[in-house]
Amino acid sequence: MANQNGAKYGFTGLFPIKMDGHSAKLRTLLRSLDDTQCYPRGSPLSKVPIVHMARFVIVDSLPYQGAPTKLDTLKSHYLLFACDFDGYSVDTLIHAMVDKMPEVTAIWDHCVGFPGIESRDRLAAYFEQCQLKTNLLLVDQPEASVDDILKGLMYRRRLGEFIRQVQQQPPGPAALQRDFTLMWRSLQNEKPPLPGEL
Amino acid sequence: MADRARNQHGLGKAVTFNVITPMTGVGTWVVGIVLWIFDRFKWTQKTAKRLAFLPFVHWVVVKRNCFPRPGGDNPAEKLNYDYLFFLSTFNGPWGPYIEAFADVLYIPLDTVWFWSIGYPFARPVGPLKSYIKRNQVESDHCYSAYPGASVRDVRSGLALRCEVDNFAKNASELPPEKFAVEFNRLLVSVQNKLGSFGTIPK
Repeated sequence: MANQNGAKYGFTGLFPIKMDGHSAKLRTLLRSLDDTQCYPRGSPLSKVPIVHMARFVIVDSLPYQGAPTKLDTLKSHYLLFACDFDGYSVDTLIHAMVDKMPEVTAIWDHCVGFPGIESRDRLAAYFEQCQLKTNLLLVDQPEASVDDILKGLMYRRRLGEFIRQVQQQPPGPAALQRDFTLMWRSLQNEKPPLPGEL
Repeated sequence: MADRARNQHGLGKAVTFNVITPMTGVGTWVVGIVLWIFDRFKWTQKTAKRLAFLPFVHWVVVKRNCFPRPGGDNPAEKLNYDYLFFLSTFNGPWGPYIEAFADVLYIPLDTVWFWSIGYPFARPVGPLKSYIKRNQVESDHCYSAYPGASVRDVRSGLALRCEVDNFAKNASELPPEKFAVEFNRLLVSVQNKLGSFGTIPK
């Protein structure tokens, strides 16, 4: 199933945008989500722990290749939303987004047919109506979750720091073993960094 | 730079790249089959994985009469062509990314994009870059859960965690002198997986 690769789901959706200036307002809103003063971890999506990567693109025209090809003009503008997350269905994404991301309403209120977030079933049905089948989803690490990747990066950083210390002031074997064991135990007990932090 | 993920520390390594190209009905049919083959037979993706700069890529074919109409409230589109949406995330600068594709992946690239109207073939790369610029659409917002990490950083982190956990479990009961020897062996084994990573400071 091309939407799925391993434990990852690649959602691609095209949501028609309401007329009368909603496209420009939505674009302004989306660009404001880059403000790291409001979103220090880069996006409101950083609050949704299952999302690896995502993008919002407003499609307001289609490319023209020049004569003699024909010019296609869209009757509506569209919000393209592509999201790669840990899960096996759109429901998983909807539940996570509604739980953690209040900006869902602010964004999708500009789109035709948005049913609000009161009923998750209706919202999931809406997303499925606007979903495009991903014909091919290429994923570098199909089985690693967001947590796995963040933990791996944390290990890399901490081991690098440990090795630097050990090389600057080489300890004796007993101290090396003790310090390594302490470092490794703290890695086991520590929560991984938050999404968007690293 | 809305096409690049970021956090409060700076810009990320992941850059989004969106290209929309028109296709005829015949092209759509062929591309659908080709993409199905690439999806069904995962070994066809090995070369792309070896390049190690693509965390996620979506290829999506949208037929001219299949632009979504939730509830039928928006008018149906009347278009002359179907469209191929290529939504990629890559690490590194744009130019070398296209050049690497053209150099290493020109066969699958040509196989899929040959059916897009106006496609000039992957080689030489100059006309390809112009074609892509003409059909590229900038993202309005993008996000990465690990913006400061490239594909190689992620691969190294995952591999390193495995090696360190195995080492800790196997070497913890050794006498200190033997532990030190095994620790040096670990260092040799992981030295290519270390190195700093992070967002590019503002």
